[in-house]
Amino acid sequence: MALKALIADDSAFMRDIIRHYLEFFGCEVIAEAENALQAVRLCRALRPDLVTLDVVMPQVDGIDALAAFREIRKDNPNLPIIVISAMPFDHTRQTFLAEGALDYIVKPLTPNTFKQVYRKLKQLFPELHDV
Amino acid sequence: MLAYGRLRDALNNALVEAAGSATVALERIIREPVSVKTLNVHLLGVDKKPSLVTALPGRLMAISQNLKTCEGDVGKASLALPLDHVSALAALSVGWMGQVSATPNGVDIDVLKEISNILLGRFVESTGHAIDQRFNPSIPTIVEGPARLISGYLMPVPTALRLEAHLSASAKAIELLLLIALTKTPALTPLE
Repeated sequence: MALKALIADDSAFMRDIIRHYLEFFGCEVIAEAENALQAVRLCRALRPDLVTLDVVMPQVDGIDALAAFREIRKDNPNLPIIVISAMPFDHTRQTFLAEGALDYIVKPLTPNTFKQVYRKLKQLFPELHDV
Repeated sequence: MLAYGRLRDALNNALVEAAGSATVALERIIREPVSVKTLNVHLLGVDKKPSLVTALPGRLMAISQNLKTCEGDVGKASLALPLDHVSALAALSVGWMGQVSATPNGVDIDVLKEISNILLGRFVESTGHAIDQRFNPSIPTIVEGPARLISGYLMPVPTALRLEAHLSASAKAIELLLLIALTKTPALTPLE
């Protein structure tokens, strides 16, 4: 059975790109969220195996990406979350990694940046396609 | 007396590094060479150079983020480009991994916002690192209008420091400007 993935990014364009890679790896994208609150709600409702989370998204009801990250981890501490951001700031990267993110990828996304994610995912999910 | 010379050197170095970092990112996105046309450091009360924003042709589109530090709002980081260059930039960018082959209606702005996030992220990070400031950018806002009005919108009041990089890509068919405008200069070193 394919790995179920949720993509949270406010850009439809970026969601398309991330979806492409996840599907290439053998994931099934079961939902897309365009803000952090929606990501939390969809995680609770759909219980994905993997989440990608953009850092800079509009706040809804005071929920930003970090708050969403914490909520999602609180509900499911073992859920792998890949943070994908345009912000290369070291303090932001360290914050998410310290909170338990599987990886922190800086845009623009390229095949090379996704290779590193793939290696980590493959360790967790050997059923992913060989690419 | 304050060491404006030393500050100017530090800011020039910061700007070169920041423009270089943004250039590399843009080259990765559009897969074409990008050149830096002009760099401009403007210190309030010392320089009288006009903003490079006013040199961009025609109506402009700008994407702007407020910058915060632990002291609160300290300025803005922005990307500005001629309105009629937006589609060309989006078209070059959507194929950045060869995955998306066309820009459906309305995608240009989405793509532009994403490019702006990436380039400003690099520009702000490198600048902040060089001048020892930790900036937190806000969600971007988009404005459109004549260069003079856009220029005013992108400058906080008062603007004490402005760093600008004018980039050119795709055989000069695309020009864009990256700009950081701060309300205070970074800590100045007193002269002996």
